[in-house]
Amino acid sequence: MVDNRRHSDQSDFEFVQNLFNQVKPESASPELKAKILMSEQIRRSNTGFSELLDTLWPFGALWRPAAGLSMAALFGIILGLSAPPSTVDTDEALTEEIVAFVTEVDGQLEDIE
Amino acid sequence: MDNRTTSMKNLTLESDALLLCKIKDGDTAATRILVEQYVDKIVNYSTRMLGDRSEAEDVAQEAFLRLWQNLDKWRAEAPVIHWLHRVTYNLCIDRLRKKKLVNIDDVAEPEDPFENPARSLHQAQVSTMVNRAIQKLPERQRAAIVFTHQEGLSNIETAQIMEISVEAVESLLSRGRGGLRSLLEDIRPELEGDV
Repeated sequence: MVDNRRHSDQSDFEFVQNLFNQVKPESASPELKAKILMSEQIRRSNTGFSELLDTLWPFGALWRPAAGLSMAALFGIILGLSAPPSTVDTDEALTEEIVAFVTEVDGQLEDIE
Repeated sequence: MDNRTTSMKNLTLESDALLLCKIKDGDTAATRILVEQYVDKIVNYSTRMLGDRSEAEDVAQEAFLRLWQNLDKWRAEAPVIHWLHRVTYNLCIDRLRKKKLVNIDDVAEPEDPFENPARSLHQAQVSTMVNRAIQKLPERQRAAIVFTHQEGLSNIETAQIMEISVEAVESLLSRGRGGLRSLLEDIRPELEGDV
């Protein structure tokens, strides 16, 4: 039983190997080879650019939190500078304060009298 | 693994490491040598897996692109071709799963560059029949069969590339061979015919 199975496996192996021996192998086109070589050159030029960036910014991935913090600070400054001016005139507000005080004092004097 | 195989593997590892080191340093000649050495194998494998020549070339291009992107992380633990085979296998499986249905009629007819027309015709017919039969196998059986019978990899190497056990590879191979045999049994005399 085991021998039959082994024989069958061996026979299947030989059959399939014989098939593959007869199949014509595929080969890459010159265009594909050119594209692959080109992709390596592009990678290299990109690497050159990233090396330049590394020289300009040697702190690596720290740029992300740093950029977030800078943006938040910038947003705060812009918001602060562009806040609308108060609609109440300061002189007018002071006059109203004085009038209110005087009126209150007058009322208190009348109560005493 | 005997001593000869081990020393051959070490030699491949050394030459791969040297080539990759040169490529990292921007040596175009080294890039060309590496591409010439492996691109045909990758195209051959992916064509057999996908049954579509143009898709196979896309996969080969993507596999090499990933190699370039991983040059800095490269560790000489296995030959480059094993790494490329693994990436190609994963890319092919992804494509097959996305496609769901493989149209077997789209399998490209082989070209005719041989000197002996009778032999060429026979080989073209066999290639077409075998390609069609391979496309009918489940994808993992197909992958194991192509790695073993076309690429000449051992069961251990196939298991490493497919990230499964050797026993699982043996099972896939056994079912795949049986499947191919039953698919091609009717035309066996033609396949075995002398030209």
